[in-house]
Amino acid sequence: MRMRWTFKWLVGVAVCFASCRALLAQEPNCGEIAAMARMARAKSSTTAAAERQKAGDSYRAQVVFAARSLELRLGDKKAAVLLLNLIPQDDGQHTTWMTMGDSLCDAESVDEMKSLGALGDRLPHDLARAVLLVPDKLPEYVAYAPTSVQDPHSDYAVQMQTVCRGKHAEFVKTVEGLPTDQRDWFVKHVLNPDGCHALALPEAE
Amino acid sequence: MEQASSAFSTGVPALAAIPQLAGNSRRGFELLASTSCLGSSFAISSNTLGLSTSLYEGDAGSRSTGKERDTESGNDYFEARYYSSSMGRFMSPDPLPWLDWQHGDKDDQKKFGSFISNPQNFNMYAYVNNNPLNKTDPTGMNACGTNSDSSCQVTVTIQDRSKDSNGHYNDQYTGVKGESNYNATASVTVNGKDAGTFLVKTTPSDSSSAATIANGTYSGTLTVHGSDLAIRLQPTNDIPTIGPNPSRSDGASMAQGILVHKAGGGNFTGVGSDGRPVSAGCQVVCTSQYGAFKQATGMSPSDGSAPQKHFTVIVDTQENTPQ
Repeated sequence: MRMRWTFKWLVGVAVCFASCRALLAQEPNCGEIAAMARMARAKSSTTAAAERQKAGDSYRAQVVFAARSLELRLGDKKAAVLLLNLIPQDDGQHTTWMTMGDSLCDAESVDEMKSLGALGDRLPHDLARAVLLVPDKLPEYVAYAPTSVQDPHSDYAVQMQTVCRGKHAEFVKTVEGLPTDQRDWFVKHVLNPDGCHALALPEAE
Repeated sequence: MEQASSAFSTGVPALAAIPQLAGNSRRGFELLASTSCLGSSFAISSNTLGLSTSLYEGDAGSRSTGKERDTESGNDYFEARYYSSSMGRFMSPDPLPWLDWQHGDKDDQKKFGSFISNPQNFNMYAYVNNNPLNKTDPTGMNACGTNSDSSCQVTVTIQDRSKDSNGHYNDQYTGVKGESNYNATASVTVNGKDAGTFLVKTTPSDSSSAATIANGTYSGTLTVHGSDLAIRLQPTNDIPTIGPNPSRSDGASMAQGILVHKAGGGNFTGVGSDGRPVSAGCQVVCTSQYGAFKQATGMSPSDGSAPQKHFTVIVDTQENTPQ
């Protein structure tokens, strides 16, 4: 009997340890957030790469690095692919994009929050730039639009106008390739591909 | 310390200080004046102390957002008590509820233990524990609202404005330019103490493209909104709305990314000429009161100390009630 309780206790501890580790791996700590903020305002790729080492391996850190890398190397297709591969695939990742400027730990400064918030605001612009460099990723880029514009502060549709104009034929084809209900919603509520006119506008600031 | 006192207090009544200080930037003072929902507001900062932040903010027309100077005594009115700028002391004891804490429950006892461990707390005439260079005391009570302290409970309660029998607003904001754009007020309390009340609009600028969030008690987190600060309501992805959200393809009665943030320029709350709404479901605070709102909630302490990062936001209005 005692053996069984000991076993159960050990299993419990192991499960708890595993889930705690998983949680810790997802949520960056204060030191990592500070590194991400430095990465977001890095003036060179070398600095960004150095901070990348300290920023941990969270999805958030990957997005910050990819976006800043593209900003620092505007025509770099590798940097573009890196960012495009991070287009949110689920609610958790979408929330990360929405909350770049949020307080994530008690010790971060407002300046750090503002650095990350500003980068978060630039993500739709960065992504538009990236997909113009790598149009193969248009399906993923277009598919995320209806989710992105649910955030009242997202200017995803406005930035998408540039892509629509720059790669019009490919863009129209991509939209036409969406499932019928999604395509109808897209052209009525997100962006009209004919005139490349954004319909989902963000709040004014 | 003496420098702080002299910079904090100019020795003239608040209203009279406006023209007097306006041309005084060479002496280290800067005056920022603006038109407000409540009248004219102003902020005085000092660069002689090497401080970039405001030392004194106020509203010339009201005591609710600033500290007025009593013209007869020369003392500053801090809602709960008067501050003597010449003595660097309050003129009456701090009415903190520490006596109640002593006889309260476990949490109160803990607060009391923490309170009595600091000898400066027994100098009830002190201003921010005699540390005016590093702290401010916006309410005259304590520095609680200016620190990111989990024991500091900052609550924003959004409720309907009062109306007369004809449906017209009849509160203290009546007649103020732009006030009719706001259907509610947000009362801020810090550990149960009033820290100010501010005009709020709780509904979207365009109800055909965004939903109104439902009444409820939400936790809030400090976030960045443009170049300013705001409060994000949680959960980020699942704020209930009072009907289907037109911005969602699935028609769910949910909204996401809802903030409490500043309204548009000139207290505007509608849809701009570029088609962009000031609110797509967010709770927007009167633009000219927003600086005072940030100070009251501790989001943006005037002394540059760590901001409050956790809030409780209660929405309880007619407009946000499901039909």
